[in-house]
Amino acid sequence: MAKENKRRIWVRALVVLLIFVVFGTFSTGYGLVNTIFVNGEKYSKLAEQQQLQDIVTKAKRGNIYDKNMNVLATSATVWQLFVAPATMDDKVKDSAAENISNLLNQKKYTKEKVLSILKKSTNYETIGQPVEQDAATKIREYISKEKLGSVIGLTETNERYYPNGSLASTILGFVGTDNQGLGGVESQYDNTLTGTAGRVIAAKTPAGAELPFSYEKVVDAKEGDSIVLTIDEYIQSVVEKHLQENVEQNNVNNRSACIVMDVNSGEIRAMATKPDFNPNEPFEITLKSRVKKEIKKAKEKNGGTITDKEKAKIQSAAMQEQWRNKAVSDIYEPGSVFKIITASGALEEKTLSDSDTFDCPGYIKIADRTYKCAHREGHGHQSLAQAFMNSCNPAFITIGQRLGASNFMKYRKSFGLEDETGIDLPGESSSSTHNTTGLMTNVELASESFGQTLKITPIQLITAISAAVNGGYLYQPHILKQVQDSDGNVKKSINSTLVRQVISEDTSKAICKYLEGVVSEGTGKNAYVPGYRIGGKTGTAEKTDIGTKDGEAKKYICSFCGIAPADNPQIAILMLIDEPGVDSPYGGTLVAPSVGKMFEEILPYLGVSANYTDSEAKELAVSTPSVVNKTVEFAKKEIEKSGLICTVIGDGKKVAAQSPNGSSVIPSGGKVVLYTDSKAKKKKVKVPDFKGLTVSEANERAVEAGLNMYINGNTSDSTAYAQSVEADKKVDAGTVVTVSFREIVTVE
Amino acid sequence: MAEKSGKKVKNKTSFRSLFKKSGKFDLTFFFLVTGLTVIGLIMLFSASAPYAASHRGSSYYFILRQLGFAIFGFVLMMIVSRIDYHIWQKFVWVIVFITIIMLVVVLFTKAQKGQFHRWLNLGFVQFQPSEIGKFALILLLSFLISKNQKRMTDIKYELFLFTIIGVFCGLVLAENHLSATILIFTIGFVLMFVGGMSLKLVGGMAALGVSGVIVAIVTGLISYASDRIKYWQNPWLDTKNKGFQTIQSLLAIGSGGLMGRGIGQSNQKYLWLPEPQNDFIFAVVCEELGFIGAALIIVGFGLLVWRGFVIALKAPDKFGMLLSIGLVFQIGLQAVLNILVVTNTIPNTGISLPFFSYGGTSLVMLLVQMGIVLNISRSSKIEKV
Repeated sequence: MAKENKRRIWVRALVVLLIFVVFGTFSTGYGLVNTIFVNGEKYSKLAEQQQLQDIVTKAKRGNIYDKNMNVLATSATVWQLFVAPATMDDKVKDSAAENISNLLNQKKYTKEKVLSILKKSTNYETIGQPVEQDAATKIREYISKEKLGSVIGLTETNERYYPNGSLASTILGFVGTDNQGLGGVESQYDNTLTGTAGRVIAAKTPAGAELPFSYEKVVDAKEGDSIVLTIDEYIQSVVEKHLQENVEQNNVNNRSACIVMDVNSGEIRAMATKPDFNPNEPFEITLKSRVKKEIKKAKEKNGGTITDKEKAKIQSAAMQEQWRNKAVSDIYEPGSVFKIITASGALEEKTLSDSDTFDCPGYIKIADRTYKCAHREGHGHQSLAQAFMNSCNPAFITIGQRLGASNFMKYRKSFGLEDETGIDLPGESSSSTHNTTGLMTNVELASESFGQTLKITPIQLITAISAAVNGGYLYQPHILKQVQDSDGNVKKSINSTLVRQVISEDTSKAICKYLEGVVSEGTGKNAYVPGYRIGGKTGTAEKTDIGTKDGEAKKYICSFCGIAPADNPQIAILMLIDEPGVDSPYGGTLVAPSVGKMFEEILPYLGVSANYTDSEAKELAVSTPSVVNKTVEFAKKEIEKSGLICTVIGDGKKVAAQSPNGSSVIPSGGKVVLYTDSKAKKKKVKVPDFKGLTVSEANERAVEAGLNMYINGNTSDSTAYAQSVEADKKVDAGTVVTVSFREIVTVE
Repeated sequence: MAEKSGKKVKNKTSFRSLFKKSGKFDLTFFFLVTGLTVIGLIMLFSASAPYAASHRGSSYYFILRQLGFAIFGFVLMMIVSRIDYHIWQKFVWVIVFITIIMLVVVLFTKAQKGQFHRWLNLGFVQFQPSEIGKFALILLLSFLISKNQKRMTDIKYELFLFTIIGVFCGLVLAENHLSATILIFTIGFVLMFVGGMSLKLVGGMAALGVSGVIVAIVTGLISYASDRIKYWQNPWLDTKNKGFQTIQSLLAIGSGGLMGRGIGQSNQKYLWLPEPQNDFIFAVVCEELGFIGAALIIVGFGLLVWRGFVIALKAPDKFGMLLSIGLVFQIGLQAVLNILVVTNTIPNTGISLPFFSYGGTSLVMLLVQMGIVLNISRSSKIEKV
């Protein structure tokens, strides 16, 4: 090889090598740098997105308990079905859709609907509402049978459950689809109850193939804390029972509310509004008749038709209404119940004393206005105690005038009636009173003295009255007692907050005495419970802000606030019914009986012992002995020993049946019918109509008919207004019929 | 020098003389080949295991076969390194003849692997004739150029050689195998250039080659290629199908970062990256070993090429020199093109990574060719390590 030739080859080979090295280095370098450093972050994020599935696991929402740890709201474990449509084999989608639809058994999720979800190109889709244990097990069996574990799965989630249905619904509120609290304590303590959601980050392969390793990072969901309320489930149920009964009996148009407060701590023992709702089905309309009426009205207006939008608007308004906690969120004119506040201020300021007397001619003139007394003929000369019993407007206007606007306003403020109470419930309303900055005129003062023209919330009023009767101490009302973690350890205890002392203990004692007089002798007689010292004040407020057309009945809010025991108050009950649809709409007639029934069931439960007078002891109910299969002779003896009368039907020697049955409660002196032949036709009697009868008349009628009457409510000067078995119905002789009595109080 | 070596060939015709030691081979080159083969096997195992487990029922499916071929190839390499490379001059026409036959036959086989007629199945072995075509052309050109050195300035002879290259290119192009065509053309071009082709032709041939590719693409002659160009420019146009492999490759490389996830730690090989044991194995290498590992492997290929050129330039004759350059350049160019494909720097052409990608016959061929280079190194006047 020539040297020159060799040199040329060298040079050319080196040129090739150089070009290759330069080209190779730069091109591959460019490719790698571009992919790794310029776009690397983007690519690695995309890679992570496709390689990992990140599933949020919901935290179990904390429970809500009453003060005795009865469950008011809890979370049940349910399972949510999910699929990975993108990686599901197209061939199986059709049959899978059918199977899933059948397994879910949910109306909305037809085969077509499920198939449309399966045909998406996403990696995670949920199907249907969460299912319970049984359905979940069936779905799991299906998944493992068809080997669909990589594309169909179930995640555990939680669903809110209220075991008592509608009980305490306006306090509790409810939760939305994502378990977020809506309304009530569910909303108020949402953060506490919610907990912290967890995550499961798991490795994923495109074809759903098994990974030889399992990459799974689990961040556990942290269960929410539980809350313990000051509510007492028993008291709450008593309150709701009587409130509901009252709403139905009195055809109340605008819902009714009731609050029970522990006067010495401001703790709410019960709070209800009726009609309310079932928090398990919060979107089900309970005010059905109202919705119907409004739709009808709208239709008439539009010539017989209604748009879906309008209809939805009416329904939505009805839902908002049924969720609303009237006891906290609505203001109303308290009427005569407010006189407690006026008197408390006046007694404290010593512009009023126990020995003061008042003359009521049936009206009083203040400036150019004349205020009539409810008792048109006038109450005449009366002591302060009598003025309370009579609920005499001119007397309390006089008390207000003597107290003066400045002092009146001072007590209005210090009783907390100008500010929100700050109760731990959402949606508390502010009160509306005559001017809070300047001085009220005498006319304004006169109106407010007996509870007209100012509007406050029920919670404000019961808080103020609790202060007036507990020695003068105003507590902030509250409903949360404790926060507990998921293991039941107490994380936080809520103590009562004393806001201020408003009046002296002496003044408070005097108020209690007057209130007891109202129930024992005055307009509040219907709230009387034998053996107990009940105090209270009735209220009937004309809704002055609602203009009534000529000929249309005036609208009223009737209320009653009771306290017990009057010598050492423990609880206060305030109940109001908004627009009763009956004649003589007076608090003393319509509301006091219900409050009395509540006291009757609550006070023994609270351990307050009853002290009966002799006449009361006579009327005491006794429990019938059980004498079936005993000899007639023995049975007769037993029954007479219990203070009951015995009638024997048949000639047998042994008792085959008795009416009423053993352990039935009937008044002493009642009748027990014994049958000696079980085959003998039982004596049937017709139930008489007791309504409008006095206690003695009713008793006579019951004995005549061969029935036992159980007396419920106030019995002096009372007439029956309800009975447990309707008139003209045929029942066995000796059956116990409960008859409710009340005094018609037409004076406020 | 050429005459001298010619004599040598004549003198050593007995079978035994074939194995007569004529000097030590180049250890540097040997270690580079061995090193790349070992790393290639390790990475193949890592990259192929999940796919093998899922599609073949055993994680070891690919690595066991490749390991077998590697051992077989390594033995062959050691044998070939002892066979005087001049022996190949004797068989050059036989090899070329057989290769051409195979390249023609493959066009008439039933299409496998989609629409391409690339694979020839002889029952006991399956291979791409284009792989052998590359070797045959390198051998043929090295033989002809070294034998007819004086005619290299003769334009007619140059055109004759060019025609030979054209025949090979044409046959491979008929397989719709663009990348192999480009590879064969470039190798042929480089050998002719180094071999003394007149510079006038260099320009002409280069221009023809480039314009040929352009015309092919523009006229849609290689219809699949234009589609490939579309999804090369924007693989995200079809993330599910046509752009899928490219995207998955980029995601793998991108998530490797500077240091990589560590060997065996790729996530993309878990069925995201299709057939990670084949052409896109380097994406898994990048994900596991990062930029640094990838760069070191590129340097490894670079060193192999450099050492091959050193051996070539010290070779005792022109045949050995051209043969060595052709063989190592082929590997180097294929590696570069493969890396450019996995980083989506050039369109996806279906080109494997030497020593890494799965393919038994391919690996055996590769090692045999490295054996030839080693044999050349025995008679090279280089300082042996």
